[in-house]
Amino acid sequence: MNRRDLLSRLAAVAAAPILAPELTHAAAQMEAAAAAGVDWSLAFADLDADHAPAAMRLVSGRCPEGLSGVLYRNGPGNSAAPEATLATGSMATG
Amino acid sequence: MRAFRIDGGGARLQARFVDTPKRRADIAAGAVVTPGFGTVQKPGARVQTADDTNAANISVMTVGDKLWALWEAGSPTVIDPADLSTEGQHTLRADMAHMPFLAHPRREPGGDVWNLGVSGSKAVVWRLASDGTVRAADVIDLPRASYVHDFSTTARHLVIILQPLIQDGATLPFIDGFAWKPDQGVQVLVLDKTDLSARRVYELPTFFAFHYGSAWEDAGGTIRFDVCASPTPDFATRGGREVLRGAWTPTKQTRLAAISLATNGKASFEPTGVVAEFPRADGRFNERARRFSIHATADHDGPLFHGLATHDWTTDRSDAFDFGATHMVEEAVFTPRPGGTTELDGWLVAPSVNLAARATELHVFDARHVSDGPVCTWRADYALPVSLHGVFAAI
Repeated sequence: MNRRDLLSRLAAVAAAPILAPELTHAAAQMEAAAAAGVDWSLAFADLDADHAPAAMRLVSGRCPEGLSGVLYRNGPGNSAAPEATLATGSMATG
Repeated sequence: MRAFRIDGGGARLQARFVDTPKRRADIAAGAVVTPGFGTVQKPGARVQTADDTNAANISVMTVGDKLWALWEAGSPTVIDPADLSTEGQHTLRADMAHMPFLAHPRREPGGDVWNLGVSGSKAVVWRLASDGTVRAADVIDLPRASYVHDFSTTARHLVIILQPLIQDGATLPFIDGFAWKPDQGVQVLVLDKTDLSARRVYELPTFFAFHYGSAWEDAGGTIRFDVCASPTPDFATRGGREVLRGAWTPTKQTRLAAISLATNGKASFEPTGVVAEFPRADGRFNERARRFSIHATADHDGPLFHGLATHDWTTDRSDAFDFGATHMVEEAVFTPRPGGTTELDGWLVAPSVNLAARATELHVFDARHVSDGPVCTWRADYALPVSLHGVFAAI
């Protein structure tokens, strides 16, 4: 296999439609809890839209002096579109 | 993508979808038509390269004055950190467009970033400058076509863990092309950063893991790092889809273990028994000897995580806090106290979904006193679904 072939293969769609199985793991564990009588579905509820910046309410303690910055986090926002989950088993799509 | 902004003693939360070609195609079709990890392509999909299926939803890193939203089988997506708007997919280098780029790059103390892109038994070894410029992108052969989600580095070596979840066909959906072959054990490929052809292969007992900690070499040259491992990959290959068909079988939680790779070829895997996932560390100790791991935890084999902990490898002591069953606790990220230099002198910052309050919360812990509970907690007016990986950018 020459370099061009390899690069083509690495970029090919057939090899690439990956989404981390950790998402699947997380969803599966949540569903297990639901089956045990605890409603965890909120933690996997789809987002309909963006959320504009808004203040969070301090519910306990006090922000430590010297702590300032931004925690950026990524993860699925639309993980259970019915078409995908029921028809094909996808757990994380957006 | 979410941003929790802590400033002036308060916190604000924003969440914004990454505007990917996949999302645009799915919205246009009114359904999820673009193929994914467990899905096949459906009519209406517009797929020409891997990046047309790129969900950009696994992790995020800072690169210069931008954010990169990372997937693992395609390009980074550039995000404006000020408002989380999407600037577009980033071609790392023209001749390497749409190549895979894992969601778990490793940053050296000097700022350079190492990453892998894996497809079958081939991998791209990416080396980037801190501004994202590609210094090198070399294709290497792997001993086997394992599923690779993460890897590790020391100051001198790349450490690539090859589990016996092995791709043995081009079946779609993607995950169905892998087979679990526990009799084949785990191989660990160690490459010299300065000469990728200089390689050693170690053998370890069978385990499955998504995530590893930063590695280092001790005085004798032994490579050491931590892992959150389970006996099988059942949750990755089976559990998720079974549960949607109402046939859930419980799977074991991942547990913290220490791996060592000696220069004489001996390798060891030493489990702690502590339930753990999302391993992190004080980032100032990347590729250096360190004493502590940071991880999400739970007090039993059960659904996801409802606690945080640090693990002291010198004493095997776990310093843990349990939020209880009504919290879904996400990955904790460390940020140092200004002026502090000792390991874990600073804070852990972690969100949770508070199921009772039906809201996302943000918690701050003193990283050296986790069991004391949160130093403070903020609550949003709404709940976001649990997220995967994050990064803290100090202001």
